[in-house]
Amino acid sequence: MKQWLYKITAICCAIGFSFCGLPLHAHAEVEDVICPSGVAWKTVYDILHHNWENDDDNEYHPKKDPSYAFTVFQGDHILLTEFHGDIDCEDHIPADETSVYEWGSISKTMVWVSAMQLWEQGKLDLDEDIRHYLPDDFSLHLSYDDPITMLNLMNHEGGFCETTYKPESWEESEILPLGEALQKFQPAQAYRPGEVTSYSNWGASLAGYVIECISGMDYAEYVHQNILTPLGMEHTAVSANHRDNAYVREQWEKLKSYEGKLKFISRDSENENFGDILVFDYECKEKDIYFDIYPCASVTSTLQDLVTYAQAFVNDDHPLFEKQETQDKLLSGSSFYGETEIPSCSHGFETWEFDHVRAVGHSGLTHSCSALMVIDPVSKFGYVTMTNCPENLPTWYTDYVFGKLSPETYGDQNSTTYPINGYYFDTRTNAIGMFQFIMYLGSTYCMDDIKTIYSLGNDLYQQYDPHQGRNATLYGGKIHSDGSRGLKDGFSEAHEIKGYVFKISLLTAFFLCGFIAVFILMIKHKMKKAGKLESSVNSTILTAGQIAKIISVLSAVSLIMVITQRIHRFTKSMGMIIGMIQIICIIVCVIAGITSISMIFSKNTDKSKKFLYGFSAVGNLIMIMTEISFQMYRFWGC
Amino acid sequence: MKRILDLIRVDLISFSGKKKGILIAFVTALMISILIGIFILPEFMAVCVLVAACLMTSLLTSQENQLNTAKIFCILPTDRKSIVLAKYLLTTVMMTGISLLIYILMEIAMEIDIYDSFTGGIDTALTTAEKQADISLSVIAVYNAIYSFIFMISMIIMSGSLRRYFKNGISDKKNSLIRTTVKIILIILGIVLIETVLFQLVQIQLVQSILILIFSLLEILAQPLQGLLLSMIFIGIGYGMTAYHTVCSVLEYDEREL
Repeated sequence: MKQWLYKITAICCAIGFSFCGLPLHAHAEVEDVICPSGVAWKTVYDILHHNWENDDDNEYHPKKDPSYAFTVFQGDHILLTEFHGDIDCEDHIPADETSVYEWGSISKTMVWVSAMQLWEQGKLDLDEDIRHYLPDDFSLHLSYDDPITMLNLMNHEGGFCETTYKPESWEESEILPLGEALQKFQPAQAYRPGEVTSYSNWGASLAGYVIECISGMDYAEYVHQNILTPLGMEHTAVSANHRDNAYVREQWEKLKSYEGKLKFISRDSENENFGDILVFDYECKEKDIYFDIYPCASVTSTLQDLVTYAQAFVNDDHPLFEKQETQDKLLSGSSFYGETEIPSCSHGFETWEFDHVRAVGHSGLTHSCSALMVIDPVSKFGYVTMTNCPENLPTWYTDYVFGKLSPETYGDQNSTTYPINGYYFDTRTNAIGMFQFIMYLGSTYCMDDIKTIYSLGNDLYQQYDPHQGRNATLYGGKIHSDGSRGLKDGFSEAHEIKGYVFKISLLTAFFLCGFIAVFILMIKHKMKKAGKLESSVNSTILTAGQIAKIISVLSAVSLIMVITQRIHRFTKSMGMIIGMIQIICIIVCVIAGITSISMIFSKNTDKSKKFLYGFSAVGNLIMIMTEISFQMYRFWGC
Repeated sequence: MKRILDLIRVDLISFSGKKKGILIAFVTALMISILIGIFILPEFMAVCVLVAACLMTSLLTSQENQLNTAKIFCILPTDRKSIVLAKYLLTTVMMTGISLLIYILMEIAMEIDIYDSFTGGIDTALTTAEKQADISLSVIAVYNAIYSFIFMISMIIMSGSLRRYFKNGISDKKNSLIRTTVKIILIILGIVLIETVLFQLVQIQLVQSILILIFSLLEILAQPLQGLLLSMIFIGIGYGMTAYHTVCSVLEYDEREL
C-alpha cells in the first residue's frame, strides 16, 4: 500500500513539475470581446499567442533567451498573461510570476499620482511656483525668473536640459538622500519654463521631492502608504536600492540584464566551410546601478503588481483617489498639440492617439530593463509588458490591441506637405555645459529633406510616409519667444537652431586647428633639428599655443567618447579636470594670440613671417571663440 | 614666386615629354574608373585619385629619369628651396584639381543615376546596411567621408614619394614604371593581407572595443552637414602631411650631395 502511495505521489509530482517546466501563460476565453483596435479579442489572442510560440529554430538562432512578460486586461479581467525566456540565461532561471523587473520611467507616474492626491487634499496647487513648497536651504540655479509649477514638471516644461553628470551610483553606500542628490546633479535651465518641452528625469524627481516636502515623509514611504498599500501591491519596491521591499530586493538580485550583440562564430559544417560568420546573440551586462534621484525611475515589481497598478486607472472605484473627478483630471490632457484639443500629455502620463481610442500610460527604460503601460480609460483595456533585455520589449503588440493611427483620422486628401526648413535638435540633450558642442555634431538633424510632414491646420502636423506603412505621428508646432520654431511630439520636441551653419563651421575650424597644430609642431621639430630655427621667448609661447590647441581638441574628443560609449562613471572630478584643462588652454591661446599679433606689428618681423604670425593669430582666435561659445570649460552642471 | 612659377613651367615641359607610357597608363586607369563609377559604383571613381597619387611622381620625373637631366638643376640660376617648392606646388595643385574633377564626376554619376539600373540599387543596399549597423549617417555623408579619406591617403602617398625623390634622387631602379606597377600590386596584396589580419583581430574583445570607439567617433564627426566636418579634417590632414613633407624635403634636398 505504502509503495502505491509513493508511486501515486511521485506521478503527481512529476505531472506537477512537467507543468512547471512548460511556458507559463494564462488566458481567459472571452469569445465576444472586441479590442479597441476593432479586432475581436479571439483573433488578437491567436496572433499574440502564435507570435510567442513561433520561435526561430535555425542553427544561428541566439543561444540565450532573455525574458519578457506581458498582460492584456480589460477592467479587472485578465485576458492574457505570458512569461517568456529566462531572467538568468546562464543558470536558466525562467521568468514567472515571482520575477521582478524595473519600471524605468513608468515610476514617474507614481510621482504624478502622489501630486494629484495632494492636490485633491488641497495641499498642493498645480499652478503654484514649486519654490513655495521647497525648503529655504534648497537652492535652485535657474536661468529664468519665471515660476516653475507642478504642472510644468508634469508636462516636462520646467526648462531643464539633461544633467552633465549621470545621477547614478555604482555602490549602494554612495546613494545620497533625495534632496542632496537633486542639488548635486542639478542640470542647467536651458529653456523658459512652460515654453519648451524637454523630457527631464531630474524635473520629475524634483516633483517627487516636492511630495516629500509637503507630506513631511520620505517619498518612498509616501508611495507605500498612499499607493502600494491601498492597491495591495506587496511585491513592489520604490527606493533607489529596492530595500524597502525585501522580497523585491531578493528577486532583483537574481535578475540579469542582456543586450543584443553581433558576434563572429565559427562555421563547423564540412560542406560550407566559408570561415567565420556574423550572428546575433545576447550578452549579459552590468546591472547594479542605482538612481540617486530615484522617484523618476526606481520602482521595481512583479508583472502582477504593474498590472494591479494599471488596472487602478480603469477602476470605477478610483482606489487611488477620493473622487472620480481627480482620476478623470489626472488622465485628461494638460498639454496639447498646437492650438487643438488633442492632448500630447495628460498630467505626466504619455498620451497616444489611435484610430478609435485615445490611450494613456508611460514607457520606461533603465540600464537593465524596459517596460510599457498602455491604458484606455474608456474601454478599460490595458496592456503592460516588461523585459530584462530592453531591445526585446514587445511594444508592437499595442498595434493589435489598440490599433494604429491612420493618416486619414486627422488628415484628408487635401493635406499639403509642410515645408519645414532648418536645423533642429532634440531638446532632451546637454543644451548647456561642456557637452553642448556634441549636440551640434550628433543630435542635430536637417529638416530640409523631410517631405513627409503634412499641415492639418491649427499648428497640428502629422508625419507619415505614404510608401512605408499607414502609421502616422502627430506633431504640434509652436513659435518660441526667441523666434525659433519647435515641433512637439509627446514628451519630446525638435527645437530649431539659429545660426547652425556658422556654429558647425566654427567647430570644424576648431578641430582643424588641432590637427594643423600637430603638423606645425612636427615641422618646427624638424627645422630645429636641422638648426634652421632659433629658440626665442616668442617662439616658445607660440609652441605652447600649438600644444594647447592639440590638448583642447583631445579633451573635446574625450568628451565625445564619454557620450558615444555611454561611459556612466564620468564623475564630477573627471569633468572638473577636463574643464580646468580647457580653461588653461584658453589662457595659453590668449597669450599666444597676443604674441602673434604683437609680432605682426613688430618692425623686426619680415613680410613672409608676418603671414605666418597672422595665420597663428587666426588659429588662436578660432580656438578661444569655440571653447567659449560652446562652453567647453563649463564643468559645473547648472 | 616668379622663380617658382618658372620652375613649374620646366616641370610641365618635362611632364609632357616623349615618354608617354605612364601617362597612357594613368589616362587608361582614369577612364576605367570613371566608367565603373558611372555604370556600376560611383564611389569607385575615388580610386582614380589613389592611382594619380601613386603615378604622380613617376609622371613628373620620367623624362628626368630617361635623359638623366636631374643634374641640370645644379646649374640653374635658382636655389634648391624653390626647386622643391615648385614640384610640391605643382603636384599638390594637380592632385587637388584631379580630386575636384573626379568628385564632380562622382556627383554627376550619382545624380544621373545610371549605376542604379545596372547594379540593382547599391544605395538601397548601403542604406539597409547602415540601418542594420545602427549608423545614423546619410548615404551622401558616407560617400563624402570615404572620398575625403581616400584623398588624404593619396596626398600622403604622393608627398611621401616626392620626399623620397628629393632625398634619394632617381635612378633606373627607382621610380621606374615596372617598379611602380609592382608597388601598386604589393599595395593591393597588402590591403588584402591587412583585411585578413583585421578580420582575425576583430574577434579579440579589446580590438573590438577600440574599433567601436574609433568608428563611433568617426560617425559622430561625419554627421553634421553631410560629412563636411570629417571631410575637412581628412583633407586638412592630407594637406598638413604634404606641408610637413615639403619642409622635410627642403631641408633634406639642401643637405644632399648632387
